[in-house]
Amino acid sequence: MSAGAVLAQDESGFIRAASVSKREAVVLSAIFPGLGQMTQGHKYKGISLFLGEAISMVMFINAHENYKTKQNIYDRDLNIFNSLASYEMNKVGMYYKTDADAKKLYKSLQNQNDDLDNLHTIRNTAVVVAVSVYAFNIFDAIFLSEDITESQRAERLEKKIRVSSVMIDRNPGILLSKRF
Amino acid sequence: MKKIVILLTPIVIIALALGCSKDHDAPTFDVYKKAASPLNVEATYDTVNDAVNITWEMADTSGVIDYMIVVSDSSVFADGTIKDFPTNLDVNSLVQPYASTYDAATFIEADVDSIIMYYTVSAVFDNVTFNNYIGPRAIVDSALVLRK
Repeated sequence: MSAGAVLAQDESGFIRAASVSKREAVVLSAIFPGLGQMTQGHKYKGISLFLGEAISMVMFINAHENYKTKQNIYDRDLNIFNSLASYEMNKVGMYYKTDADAKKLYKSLQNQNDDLDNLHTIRNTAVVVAVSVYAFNIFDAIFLSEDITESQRAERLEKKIRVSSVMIDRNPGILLSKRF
Repeated sequence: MKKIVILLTPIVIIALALGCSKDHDAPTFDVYKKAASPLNVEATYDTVNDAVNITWEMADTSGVIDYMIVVSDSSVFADGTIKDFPTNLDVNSLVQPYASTYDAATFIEADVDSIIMYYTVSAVFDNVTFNNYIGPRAIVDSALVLRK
């Protein structure tokens, strides 16, 4: 068996060994995406799902909090804008409310509205991504991952082949070792 | 792969629908558009009386209680030194075009022999919609004011 063939077997999961059952993996995946996959030996998939869920949740929470804060300010300014024309704030012989004030406030409201739209899009996208990652994670844990029994797991652990780099007569080489 | 596509398709559609939706209304300027601005503002300097005569027209005077003369010493109107002067005219008894006269010294504090001043007029509204609200400014007119 050549080294290339062994490495190919490694990539296909020959070395990879699951440490939990499928049922346990599904439960772990339900707790947080990627945990089940990682414990079943699918490191990259598990880490990807974990990071995808974590990042999208952080983005959602951040955008949502920003949105709430900005919406409060927007609502306040919109009330001022809507009542600016009719609100009793003049003294006798003096005028305080001008068209320039209304235009300035209107421009500010338009900018705030654009910010809210952007945050709304980010918030919704983040929550959809989070839900998608979670759904895919559960789907993957239930339907795409393979179930193994205790005996199969023990067998796989036994079949584990270690790959290490060695120097043989001052030449670099790869050492494949396996416990029988 | 087919299963993944089937799973993701509705999610993408939901994402697009949510992303395009809005949960708040954009502001509108409709109310304030009801406040019209005066037309044909003309400012002329009267050398004999050392006064500035300002005339203007107003197409619809409903709700108008007063006019506000606004003066600036800069062609970039808002960047100059701006002064507001309510006319305190009895709008209903006047016949168009409206007019107001000010002593030139009212506008000029510096000791100069001549200066170009810029004038515009706003209508002041007081009705169901507006409460002592100064409407939009008319197109600015300039006048050369000679002092010496």
